[in-house]
Formats: sequence, C-alpha cells, structure tokens
Amino acid sequence: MIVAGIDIGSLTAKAVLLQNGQVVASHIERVRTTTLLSAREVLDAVIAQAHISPTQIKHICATGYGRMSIPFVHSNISEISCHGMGTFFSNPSVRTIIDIGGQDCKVIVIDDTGMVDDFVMNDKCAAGTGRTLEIMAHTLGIDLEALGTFALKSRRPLPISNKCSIFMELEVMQFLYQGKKPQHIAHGITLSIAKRIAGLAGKITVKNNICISGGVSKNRAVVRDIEKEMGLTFVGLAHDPQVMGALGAALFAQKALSKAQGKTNDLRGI
Amino acid sequence: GCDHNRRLFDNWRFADLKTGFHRMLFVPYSSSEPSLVQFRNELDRLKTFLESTFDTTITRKKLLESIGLYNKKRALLREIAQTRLTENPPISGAEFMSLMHAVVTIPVEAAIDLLSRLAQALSHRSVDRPKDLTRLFIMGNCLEEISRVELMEDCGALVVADSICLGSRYYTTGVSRSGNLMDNLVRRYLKNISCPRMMDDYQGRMERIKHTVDQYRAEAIIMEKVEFCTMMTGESYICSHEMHKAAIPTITLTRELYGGGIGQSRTRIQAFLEKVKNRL
Repeated sequence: MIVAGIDIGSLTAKAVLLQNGQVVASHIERVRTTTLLSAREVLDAVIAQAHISPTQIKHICATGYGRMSIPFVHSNISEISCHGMGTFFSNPSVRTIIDIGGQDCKVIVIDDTGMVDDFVMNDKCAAGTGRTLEIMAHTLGIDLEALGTFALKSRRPLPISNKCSIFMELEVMQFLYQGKKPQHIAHGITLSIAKRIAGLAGKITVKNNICISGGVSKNRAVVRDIEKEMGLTFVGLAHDPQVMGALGAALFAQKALSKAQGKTNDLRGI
Repeated sequence: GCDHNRRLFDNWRFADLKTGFHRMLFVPYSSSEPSLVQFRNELDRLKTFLESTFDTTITRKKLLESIGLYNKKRALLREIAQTRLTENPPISGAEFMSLMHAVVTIPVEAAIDLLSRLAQALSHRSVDRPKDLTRLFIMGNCLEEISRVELMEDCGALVVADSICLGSRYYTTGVSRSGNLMDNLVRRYLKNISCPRMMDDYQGRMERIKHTVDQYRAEAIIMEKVEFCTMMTGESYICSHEMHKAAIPTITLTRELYGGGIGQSRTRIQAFLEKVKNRL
C-alpha cells in the first residue's frame, strides 16, 4: 500500500511517500507561484525517488496553508494534527513539538497515540519564524544556511526586540552602522527568536519529551538558544524534522485508506 | 458597552454629522438596585428626548403594543432556535445568523411575517449533511460576520447554539406586559440579559453556558474575540478555565472585525475540531 502526504507551507513544499508504513521517499522544494505547481513538483519528485508510477499511490493527504487548493488530493488535515502525528511516528517518546516554519510557529502537545491534546500558535506577526531569519541573514549579508553557524561563534548577544520583524531589521541595521560585530548581532537575533518561542510555549502546559521541527530546527544557534531559554534538551527525530507535516499527512492518508478498505475504524493514533 | 463605541459617539458629535439626531444611552455595568434606578432615569430621559425630537407622545398603550410586537418576534426566534435541538437541524448556524441580520434590520411587523413563514417552512425542511459534524456552541462580543460562521461550519462543524448579541442574547427573554412598563424594560435589559460587559454575573453566565451546551448537546465551544476587546479578553479567560473544569473543549479565536487572516483562522478551527473528534 503506497500513500503520500503533501505539506504546502509558506516558504517550502514537502512530500513524503509511505509504503506499508515505511518512509520510502521525501522531498523539500521552495514553493512556486501556485499551490498546484508546488504540490505537483514535490509529488513528482518523491514518485521519481521511489521509482513508482503515480497510479500506485492510493491516497494523498494534504496539509499546510495550501492544502485547500490542491484538486488531486483525497483528504486534508490541519498541519497541527499532521505535525503531531509525524513527530510521534518519528520518535514515539515525544509529547510536545515546537514547530517553527516559514511564517508561523506553534507548540503542540500530543497524547500517547500521537493525536493533538492542546496547541498554541503565533498571532498574525511572523516575528520569530523562518521568514525573520531570511530577512536578517540578507541584512547581515550572509547566506541563511550560514546564519546559525555564524551566531554560534558569539557569546555576547546584542539585545534585539522580538515583537516585529520590521523593527528587528531596523535594529540590526542600526547595530551594523554602529560597527557592532556581526556574530553578536546574529546571536542577538537567534536569542530574540528563542525568547519569542519560550513565551509562546508558556501559554500551554508542555510535557516531556520535547522536540523541535520545521525548517528553523536546522539553525543550530536557534536550537541552542531555545534549549537554554526553556531549560530543556530536545530529543531527536528519526526523520528530517522539516518533513514532519508531510509525514503526518501520509500517516493520516494511510489510516484513511485502511478505514476505506474496512481494515480499521480507528483514526486515532497509529 | 465599550470605550470604542463611546469615543466613536464623541467623534460623531464633534464632526456634527447630519444624521437627524444623536444620543448616547448610558447603560450601567451592574444589575444592582441602584443600577436599575439609574437605568430607569436614563430611559425616562430618552423617552422625553424622543417625544420632543419627533413631536409625539409615548403613551402606555403605544408602549404596550410595541412590547407585544417585539415579544412576538422574539418568541418566533426562540421557536426557530429550538429546531437546532434536533439531531439534524433544519437550519445551519450561518443561515441562522443571516436570519438575525434580516430581522434586526427590517421593521418588526415585517420581521414577524418573515419569521412566521420561515418557522412553517422549517417544519418540512430536511437537510442532507455529513454525519460526523461537530456540534458547536459559539460565544463572543461583536460576532456578526456570516462568513465567520460559514468558515467554522465549512471546517466540519454545525453551530447549534450561541451566546452572542446577534443571537440568543437578543431573543431569549421578552418584556413583561403587566405593571410598570418602563420598569419592565429596565429589568429586561439589565437583569435578564447578561453579556460580558456586565460585571456582577459571570458565574451566572458560566452556568447558563454549561446548561445550553448540555441542552443542545454541543461538543465544543468557540469563543470569538475582536482584537483589543477588553471585555471578551477577560470573559474568555474565565470561560476557558470554567469549561475546562466541566470537560468542555474550548478555543479562543482573536480576529479583526471584518478583517482577513482566513487561512490562519481555518487552520486553528480545523485543528481544534480534529482535536475534539479525537476525544469522542
């Protein structure tokens, strides 16, 4: 049985293929001008990776902000539920997920079946998300991928506001004009994001074990600063943390297909 | 009820808009006896103002007739609202809100006629819906956007009951027609309707919400809060804690009045409903 999960986010599109409950392919791509284009591209990529034909995929589930605009999917589930299920599959000891995506961040608490118990999301502003890091990296004149390593060189972060990406950018520019060391500015940025995430997590009751997912989880400085700010150590995931949403969607696709085939009535857990 | 409206009124007066007339009715925040007296004074002054502005006399006979009409309208709305007690209500939440928009806008006689015909039509109406919709109770302050309720129902729910100004708070109680009619109006507005602006009845409101949730077999509550509304901020905090004790799932959604952010709202609503389904 082959199923697929597609996660169309604000900055990247992801897809995961599951075959008999195992991940056989995954792909991440920058989003295109339309949701449909993004979905087709990532799906085609995993199909090619797994060397299968499209007709072998029996159920496709979509998630992410673009989930409503993909005509060829069979179902859609919120990214909150999908992230919960995906991370649980990747590490069954996880009970709280801090997910930092392109333009939103969320803290999700799950139960012992991977289903959502509670969640909280950021408000309208994208401060503290991947988009913020993109803007700041550009302002500092370095690659986004290098921002984390750069910030790790500093032990003296400069204080930077965490309320608004635009104001954050102005503060960074001001520091640069003042001749402040860029690595201290970079560390100030990652610490600012960590404080915002810690504030968000404070709105619900988190449970151990805690993991981090989403594209920003690959920024080691942000991860370090969140761990310090919240006094915790994240547990690892068996799969790429950036595809947890797509993985969860694929798992829900699997369950929906099983139900349709009369194999189970239970859509809870795995 | 809020500072925003009061300051808006000041701006109207300052701009000297040619609306015919403008007047602010100051409503107390409590239903204590001194508050009832204060509100009675306000209504008396309003009556005098209307009589002099429109060169008319508001007699007991006219007041009685008007109260009768509005009581009839509210009774019809209650009758229609009660159709939502059924397993598969003949009217959706969005349709009910559309109805409320209509009946508070048109003259009361036309509203009664519309409601009478609708009540008749609904008795024969059967709607084909998915079986697993989550029965929702909604509450909030200024919730009047039909599209908002449509969004909730589009995510897999059916709004069956509410505690909003353009909902049950409008029609649940009528005005007594015996005794002093002005005092009866005072009692209806201060004692018999409780919204988050009223400071001394939050426990009563919580009990009524729990009772209505139970009566209409609602499975979850969505609390709608307009950005910067202090009344609803306090109310949603209390309500989420009280409903948690009663094991009723709740979520508070903050939005701008007639604002955007549909994608973000849809994600939150859908995730909440998925979470509720998981508990069942």
